[in-house]
Amino acid sequence: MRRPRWRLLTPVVVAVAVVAVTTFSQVLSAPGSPALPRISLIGLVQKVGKSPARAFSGTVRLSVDIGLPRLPKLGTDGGADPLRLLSGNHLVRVVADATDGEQRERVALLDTMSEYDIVRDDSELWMWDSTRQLARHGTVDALTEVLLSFASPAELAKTFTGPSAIQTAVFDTDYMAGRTTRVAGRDCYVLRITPNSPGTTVGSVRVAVDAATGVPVSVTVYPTGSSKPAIKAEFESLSFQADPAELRFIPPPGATVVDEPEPDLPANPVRGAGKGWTAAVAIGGVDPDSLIAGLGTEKSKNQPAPEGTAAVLAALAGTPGTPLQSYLRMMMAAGDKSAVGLVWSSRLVSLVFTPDQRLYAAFATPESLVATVAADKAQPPADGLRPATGTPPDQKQITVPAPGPIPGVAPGHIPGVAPAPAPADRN
Amino acid sequence: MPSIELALTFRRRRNLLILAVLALLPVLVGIAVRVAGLGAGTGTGMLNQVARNGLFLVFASLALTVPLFLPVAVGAVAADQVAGDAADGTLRTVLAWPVGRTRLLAAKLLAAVAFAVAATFTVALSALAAGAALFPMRDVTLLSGATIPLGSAFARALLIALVVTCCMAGVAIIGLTISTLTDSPSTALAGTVALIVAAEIAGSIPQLATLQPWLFSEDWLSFADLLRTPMYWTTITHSLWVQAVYALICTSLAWARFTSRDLAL
Repeated sequence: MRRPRWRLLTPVVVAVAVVAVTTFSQVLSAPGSPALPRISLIGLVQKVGKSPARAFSGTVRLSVDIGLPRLPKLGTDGGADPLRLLSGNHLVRVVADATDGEQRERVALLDTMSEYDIVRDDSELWMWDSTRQLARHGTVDALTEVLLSFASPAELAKTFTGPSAIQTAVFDTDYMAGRTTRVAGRDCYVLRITPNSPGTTVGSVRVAVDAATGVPVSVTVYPTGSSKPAIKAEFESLSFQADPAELRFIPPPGATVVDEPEPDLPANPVRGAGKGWTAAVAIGGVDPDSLIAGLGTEKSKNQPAPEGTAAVLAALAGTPGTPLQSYLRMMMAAGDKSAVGLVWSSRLVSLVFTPDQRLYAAFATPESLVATVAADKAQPPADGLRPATGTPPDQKQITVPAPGPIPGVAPGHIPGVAPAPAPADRN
Repeated sequence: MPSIELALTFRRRRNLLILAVLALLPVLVGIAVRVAGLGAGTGTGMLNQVARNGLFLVFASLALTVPLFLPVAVGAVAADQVAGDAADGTLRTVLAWPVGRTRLLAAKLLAAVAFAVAATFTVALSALAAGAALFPMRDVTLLSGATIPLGSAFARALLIALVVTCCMAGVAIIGLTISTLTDSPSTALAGTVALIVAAEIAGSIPQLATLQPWLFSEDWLSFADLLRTPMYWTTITHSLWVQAVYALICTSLAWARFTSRDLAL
């Protein structure tokens, strides 16, 4: 019954064959450089700016590594949460239809066994948290604008290629085009944007623009002196159709429905400060302590702590809130003191929190941002309510909701930035 | 030949006990939710919905058992298939029969996979029965917030059970392969469980991100993607491909080892 020993080679051969086939198919499906008609730089930039509003739907792979420690993930049932978009890899489904003049959009953060959906019907807004079976109803505010634009490459790209971005940044920016690539099965032009001004943390931005429609389908932001992207958003699949059913939200039976109060707009002016790539956006009336405290109140309120078996089951199911709060408090404590206030910086974003509860954020080095803040304070904001102009991170007129206890969503991404690394680390 | 191996697997008292424990788990979870009143608001995730809709006990039970109980149960039975026979001496007798080793291995493989199917459906059906008995059954709210009628929710539950079954069949084949490598059933069992745990630990270490898509345990919980509108298939398809690749390599290794090894005859 003795069989030849050569049979032991079979699994090796099979393994090698499988690895070879997998590698080969990956090489084949790797983005090549499709031949596309030549396009001038201006033509390409205009193509992006002038692409008409279209209906589209697709899945976006988003990876964010701006130097924040990973937010605590609480087992498999911690649940999808927009705050987690601040770091790590995510899968986001984006559906948008603005063809009939009304801005309708759905951004769904697909997480393991959970989902967080933001559904926008013009100015009406629904936020759906599958983990807590919680539907929050409100109006579109600054934070959701930012979140919505953050998730879709098409929107994110406008931050860097939108008309005002180009207008204000054109003098200190190098544009480069000419290469082509394929994203989500579509032939794309590649636009590379390199800031030319000192003080900014943006090294370069790579945008892939769909040749047929002019829609940006991939955006990668590299910090200065790094080849590791800080933000990468890329369509994994994309179709230029939107299912109207997906753009409607009706609170499911049994869900908790919360009507959000109207945000107190005049109390929270958002303005721009500085110019060009190092421009900052300033948000007034931010109180981090009450914000962080607000994150934990919703669950503990009116609810006796589970006991016995219920406690075990609750622990199994995961009870988010407290670890996140301690994480944020830790981050608050990690700020560096400066003449103008507390300073945090990461690979891409710097934040300054001034004693008069104003938060400045910019794609700039901490030194540059501190200078911007100092200049901004020296010149009292007579036109305090003017919209942020020429601010790369923020093209839209933003308003931030009143810093109330809004669970899951901290207005403004204030806390949670790593302490300033030594300049040598960044380069 | 296959019928003998199937009968051996499903008549062994220990294996039946494993199935009984798996059947008991959803019932216990259901009773706990019912008694403790863990309803809307107190818990999070799938368990949160069980009190409102019994069908969610199926999803919640699978989510609770898929990370550890199910694969360990399936792996333990598969790991015993060859090594157990080798240890108690029956393998000698069986090999004396006029049946080729390849056919014998195929029969054992079939029995191990059949147990994986049985284990998954035991959990799912027991959860369905407990859910229907303890809680109301109604239209299902998907993760995306849309509501689908009970009928199509049943179809999705079946689809989910099938996806989980495929993942567990992958574990069965891995366990059987380890079983052919040793004569000691406890070594095979320890090896299989260690491999499952190691794969899950590797899946939770951020530094191993490049390796993670190729771990067999990485996307076990992706079955929940079928509870979205529209259903998101990419992760599940990838996971099934990974299972297939592992199954192919493991089967060839098991075959090579089993047909060429010099059993102490």
